[in-house]
Amino acid sequence: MSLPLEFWIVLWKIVFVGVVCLFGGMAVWVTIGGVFDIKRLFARIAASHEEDKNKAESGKLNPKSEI
Amino acid sequence: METATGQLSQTAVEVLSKTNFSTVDWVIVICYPLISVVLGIVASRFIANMKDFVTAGQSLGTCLGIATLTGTELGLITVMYSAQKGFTGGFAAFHIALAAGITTFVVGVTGFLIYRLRAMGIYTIPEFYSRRFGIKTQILGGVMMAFGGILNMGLFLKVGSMFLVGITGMSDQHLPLPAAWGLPAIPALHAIMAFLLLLVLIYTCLGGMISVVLADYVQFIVLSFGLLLTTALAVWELGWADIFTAVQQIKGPAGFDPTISEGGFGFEYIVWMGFLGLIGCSVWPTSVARALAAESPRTVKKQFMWASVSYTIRFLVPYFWGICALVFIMGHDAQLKELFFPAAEGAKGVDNLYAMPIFLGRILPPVLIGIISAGMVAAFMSTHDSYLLCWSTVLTQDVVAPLFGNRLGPKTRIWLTRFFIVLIGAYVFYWGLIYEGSEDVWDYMAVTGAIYFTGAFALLAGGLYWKRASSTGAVLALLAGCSAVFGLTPVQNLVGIHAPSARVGLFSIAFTLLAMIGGSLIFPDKPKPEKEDAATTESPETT
Repeated sequence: MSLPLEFWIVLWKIVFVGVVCLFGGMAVWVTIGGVFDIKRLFARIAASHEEDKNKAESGKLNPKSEI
Repeated sequence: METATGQLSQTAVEVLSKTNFSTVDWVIVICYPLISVVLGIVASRFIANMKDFVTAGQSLGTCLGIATLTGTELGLITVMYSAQKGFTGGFAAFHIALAAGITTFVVGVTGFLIYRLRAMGIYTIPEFYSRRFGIKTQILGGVMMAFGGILNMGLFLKVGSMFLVGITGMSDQHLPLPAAWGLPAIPALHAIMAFLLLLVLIYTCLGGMISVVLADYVQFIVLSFGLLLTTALAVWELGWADIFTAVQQIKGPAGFDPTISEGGFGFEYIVWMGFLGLIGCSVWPTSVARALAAESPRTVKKQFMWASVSYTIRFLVPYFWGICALVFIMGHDAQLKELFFPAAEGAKGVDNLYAMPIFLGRILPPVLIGIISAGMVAAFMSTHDSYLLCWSTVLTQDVVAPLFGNRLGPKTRIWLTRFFIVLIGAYVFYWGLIYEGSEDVWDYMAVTGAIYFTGAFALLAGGLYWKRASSTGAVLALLAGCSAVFGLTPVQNLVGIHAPSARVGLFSIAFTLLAMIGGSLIFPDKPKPEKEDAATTESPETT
């Protein structure tokens, strides 16, 4: 029991056009939002290193034992 | 068409050399990957420990997470094997893309597996094995994962390089070496393989996950817009309605209806693809690595919901390009048709992996073809870097480090990871030179991947959602995953069985789940002290 050929042709047309349009919109959003995320990524890593350094200096953490 | 000696005739070489690829495009393709190398050098300044190297400090936001997920999974190898599937299966192959998109969206909404994994704050899947099932399972899981994964990426370098030689019209050309070396000219394919591998190794070794993430972001931008533009040009060249009409004439209903088994798919194959879609986003280590690098469990869910669009498009668009290549070859170029589908009985056609790059080489104008090729090379590199980093990290963190009683320092671990990256790179180059399989690349990858992921799925699902899952059950499930190897044609020939890879894959899943359940019920773990138990099965909501 298979569905008529017309059903599949229309389905694949809708899926293709719909997903391509959705992806186009998402590509613009991710391109812009990614710049802000990169800035945040480096800020967080720098802050994390600073925190580790402070902890090591105060003797709370031995950096050599950290994985 | 190939002659009796296996060489292509002069006419065939001339037909395959026709392309719009120009000198300017070469400059673009060569210069573009250097951006990634520079990013690797810049990122290396931020590497202070293994957490930075492996998970970018677990600081990825939603947009960067989507970009890097897309960058990794929309690799050149994906584009190539998907185009091949579109070429051989027509529009019916679209069901694979749909299955991947739907399952990824469901995983994003429910957080199935990934949410709890991220909430545990682990770096790798075998680390979860260790916390849930013990160190022996971690080591065995790490070995199985690396074995299946490295075998899986064995064809990446060759297939990726085939795109470049196909689109540039160099598929049957040789490059001369300096006369002083006294060596014969080497195939262009091998030279491209060596060049690309060298670039990938340099920046992956230098920057770890941070350089991977940055390279993925740049690659996302170039490739996303490149994909859309190329698709528009393909439709412009062939005509939207004509593409559907041509597929109907060439393949009949099997070119659209995936339930027809004569088209190479059928219900069994659809179910197998549904499971692969689930695995691809929630169990496959490179995807899970992005989930584990996210800044929070909530971000992971959001990231996967949006990435479901990327998971669909990464198959859908290349399928469409493969279909367009088929329509172009069959209806627009008689010489190409004769090369790919020789009329003479017993004659061997050109490898259909070359169909899509040759088609793009004919329809894209100069400069744009350079940008698209550069984007593809970037896609190739971003996939390679992620996979190299993933498998080398597993070997370091989950196999070697536990064997040394976890006494290795952070610097030793980073250098060990870099050593494995180079070692795996050498293997990929060697495998690309010697392997001559005849099956579709996608089916090869599904089977080799199944060696790892069938067992891994049982362990993750059992370990995260079933309290009675035991370490014996876990070990048995991992070993049962090896049954997937019977899906490979050479293995089937060896043992004298013949079954579709989809059937073997589904059997393997059932077998691993059975091993997990049976092993856990028959050999339950000894009850742990309450405090330890709480630490290993921590609820994500309380983290």
